[in-house]
Formats: sequence, C-alpha cells, structure tokens
Amino acid sequence: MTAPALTTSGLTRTLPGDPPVTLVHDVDLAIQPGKFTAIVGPSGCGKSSLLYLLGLIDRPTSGQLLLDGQDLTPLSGDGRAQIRLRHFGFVFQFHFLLPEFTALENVELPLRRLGKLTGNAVTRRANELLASVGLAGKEHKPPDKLSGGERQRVAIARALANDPRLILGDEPTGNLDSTNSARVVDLFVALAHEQGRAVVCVTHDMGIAERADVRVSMLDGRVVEVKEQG
Amino acid sequence: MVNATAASGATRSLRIVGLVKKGNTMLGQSSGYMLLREAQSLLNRPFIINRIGVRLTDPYAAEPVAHALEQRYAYKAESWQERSSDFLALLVTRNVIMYAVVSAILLVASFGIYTAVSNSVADKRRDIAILRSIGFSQGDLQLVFVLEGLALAVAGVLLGWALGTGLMAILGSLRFPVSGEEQRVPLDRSTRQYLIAAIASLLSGTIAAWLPARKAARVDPVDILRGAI
Repeated sequence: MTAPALTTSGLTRTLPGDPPVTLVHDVDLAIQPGKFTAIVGPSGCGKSSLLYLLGLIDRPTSGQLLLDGQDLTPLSGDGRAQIRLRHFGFVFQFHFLLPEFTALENVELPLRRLGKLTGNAVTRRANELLASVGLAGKEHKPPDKLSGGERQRVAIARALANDPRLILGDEPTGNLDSTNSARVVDLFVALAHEQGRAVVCVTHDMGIAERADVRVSMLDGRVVEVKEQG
Repeated sequence: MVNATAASGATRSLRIVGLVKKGNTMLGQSSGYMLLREAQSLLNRPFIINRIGVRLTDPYAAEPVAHALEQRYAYKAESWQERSSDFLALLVTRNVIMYAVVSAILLVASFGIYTAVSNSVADKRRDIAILRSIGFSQGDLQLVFVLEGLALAVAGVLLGWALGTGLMAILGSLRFPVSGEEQRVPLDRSTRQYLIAAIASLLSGTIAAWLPARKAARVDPVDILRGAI
C-alpha cells in the first residue's frame, strides 16, 4: 500500500462564539495518492470546512495535518501559501477565474508565481494544460466568452498548472449540467488513476460519489464512514 | 543735462550719458553713477570714499565674502542678504505658505489614490481569496495593490507635468506693467522642480496605496470562499 498523500489526526475546527460552533470534529483521515476520494453528507455537515482544512485554506483549532510526515498546522500564513502553491490544486463550485485575464493567462498565473518555468515555457505549458482539458483553440478567450463547463475546465487546468500532488474540489460540478458534469468527473478520475494524483472532491451528487474510489461520509462535523469502493 | 545739488547747497550741471536698470525699482530710482572725483568735489569730501560695492560672480557667496572682508579690513561689510533680511524673511514666509498649500493638494490627491485602491481592494476581495488559495503570499498581494497605486501616481505625475508645463507657458506669456515697465511672472522651469513634484507624488501615492494593500493582504480566503462576506 502506498503512503498517504495527506494524513489528518484529530483535526478539529471550532468557530469562536457564544456558544462556539464546531465545524469539523476530531477527523482522522488518510488521503491516498492515485485515488479519487469523495466527501459526502448533508448540507452544513462540515464537508467544505474539512476540505478547506485539508487544503490549508483554513487553520484547525486542534489536531494535526501531515504531509510527508511534516505537521503543517504550525505553519505561518505565507508558509501555508507556499505549500498550496507547490503541492495543492483547487477547483471550486464557481470557476473563480480572474475576469480580466484570458483562459491562457488564468492558467499561466500559478506557473508564473511558482517561477520554475519562464517566458515561452510558461505559455507552452499553459497551452498544453488547456489542450489536455479539451480547450485547444479557446486559449485567448476571456472567461465571459466561455460556457460554464469550459470555465470549469479552465479552472481545472489552472489547478493542474503547478503539477499538484493533491487536487481539491469543492462541489466542482455544482454549477454544471449533466454532460459537463460527467466530463469534469472523467477528468478527475483520470487525474487520479492515470497520473497518480490524490483527488478529493466535496459533492452532493451521489452519482459522482459512486464513481469515487473512497467515499467519506460526514454528519454534524464528524466523519461517520470511510468506504473503499470497487 | 541735470542739475545735481549736494546737502551743502553746492550745485553742478551733469550730462546724462546713459540709463542703468538695476532690476530693483527702489534702488533704481534713488541712485546713479558719476565720476568719483566729480562726486567728491560736489560733496566737498576730496579723497574720501564712504562705501564700496563689490559685484560677485556668485551672488549667493555674498555672506562669506562680506565676512572675510570684514575680518581682513576691520570695516563693516554687509551682504545683500543682511541688508534685505526683512524682505528675505517675507519670501521665506511666502514659500512656507506655498509649500503648505502644495502639501494640502498632495494630501487630497493621496486620499484620492487611497480611495481608488481601497475600492479596488473591496471589489477584488473574491479575486484576492482565489489568489491566496492558489498560493500567492501576503507580500505578493500587497505588491499588486501598491503597484496599482504607483501606476495611478505615475499617471498623475505625467498628467501633472503636462498640465504644469501648459500652465507655466500661459503664465509666462502674461505681462504686467510695473513702474512703467513690462514685467513677467518669475517662473522656475528647472528639471529640479519637475523631479521634486514627481518624487513627492510617487512617495505619497505609494504610501496611500500601501495602507489598503496591507488590508488586502490580510484577507482570509476562507471567509470569502465560505460566502460569509
């Protein structure tokens, strides 16, 4: 069995208040590379909150989050940003593309920030990524000239730009019709199975959950079941 | 020809051979040049000189030169700055008022840049959250908005230079009759003035943008991604 891409231990997130609200409670989880993991559960059960904790967007109140044995929880804001830049890719329910930029420029953004490639190599890589999600020929279109499915595929290409080990999706098909939704899920499955990446998606869609290799069910902030699926 | 009369009542006819403009109306109307011996004879003070004027290549060296002359000859030597100290104090006051007005204008312009960048930060909160989630650091985002303020300041500097040059051309073409002579507004068109204006504007623009930029950098992406704001 391969080593997990990401491991959590007693991960808890409580919002201060009177009374305090616990969004995620004592979660122990091992996210495996090469597998498509779906986090499911009713609205408000803490799925997205768990995803934000896994993706270092939010900071846990207690518990540990380990990447290659390194505890990421004590990292500063910029330290967490560095980890996100190098190892994680995000796809949200809304494409969240920068409207002033073209599809190509949106994909180039993390590549330029990462600084591993320069000049034409950045553009070449961004073009390859857009082609890999079926958007060859639409590189120079701004987001408002693309369909909903195309925008989401640009967002996926952007999430892949830094060659991440872990891809995190927060309801990535929530705004798509069934055809585009199926295309996006196909992409996620391929990213996990063919490229060995760990893919974690929060979803309401049980059709998507059924295609996942691992289904994590949540209720009231707790993980109630982790099920390996054939 | 003019008749010159000394305090003693002695008179002499003098021929005017030329008119001299001293560039100062008060001095120009009350002084003239004549042969030294003629003057000594008219005043009945032969072999006496009671004042020597020294013309310097660099007028601003008058004070140290006066001091050196005083030290050397033990006679009182007075620089033009010392003689016109009241007038110069007036100019200092004028400059203080001018710089205060310019600073107030600069402050208003800085508030303009502050407001523009603050609005931009407010409008771009979602984009800031996305960039943060991609892995952009607080410093990166701060830099983006400071650069936005700086770009506004650069545009302001270029526009200000063009407007300033145009206004100076208009002001420079105006002529005012003073004591029967046409005078123009004294204008300093040196590169130094353009540089001072540019540096002051860029500096104030950067500071004005830096404050909202700090705010942008502190945006917590999770608040926006959760849709709480």
